[in-house]
Amino acid sequence: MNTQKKVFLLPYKCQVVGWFIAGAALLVMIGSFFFGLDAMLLVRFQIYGMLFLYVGCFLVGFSREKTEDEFTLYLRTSSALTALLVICALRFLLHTVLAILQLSGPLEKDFHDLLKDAFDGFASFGSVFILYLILYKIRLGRYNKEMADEE
Amino acid sequence: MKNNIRVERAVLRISQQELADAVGVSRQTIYAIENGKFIPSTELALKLSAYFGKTVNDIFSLD
Repeated sequence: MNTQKKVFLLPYKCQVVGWFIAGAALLVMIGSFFFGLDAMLLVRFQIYGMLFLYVGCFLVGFSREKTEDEFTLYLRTSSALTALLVICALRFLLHTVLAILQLSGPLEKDFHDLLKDAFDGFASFGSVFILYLILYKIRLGRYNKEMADEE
Repeated sequence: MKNNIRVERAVLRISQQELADAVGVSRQTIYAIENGKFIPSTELALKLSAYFGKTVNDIFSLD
């Protein structure tokens, strides 16, 4: 369809490479806990693992499907919108909690750090992308399963 | 929006995959349109109608 020519996506082969990189990074990250590494090396493994996991997910999320058309584009945009909505709502909720708690006096350092970690972690911009990827792949997989069941 | 793509496909005895290949989309797209889960663009609606040799109004109608 002509509409697809306006959307920039990486070639399908990048998705295959992306799955491989993300899988390998996840294995290394999980495996590093069982190798008995010293703390410094363990942190290094986690940092590089996370970097490669992001690279892999990026390639998977922004590569074309075998047949990329207006339906996959619809699934991508609706998943991205849902992901953005969920994370924005989460950030709004966390801000509200923070504001209410501030009314009753200064927060304890540990609790303040916990909230800060929440903002930097699961309510961050990176989470929008990860959630988009999960939602998009689940929806696409669900249609594939429904089609297989129909046969 | 309703459509009778499934019926037209049955008349021509073609599979979802064959129709998808003919109009240049994926099989998921045809499945989603047939089940009313996705409304196609004007361009795709015209391609589908042309493939069946009918007008868009013959294939698609409002609920």
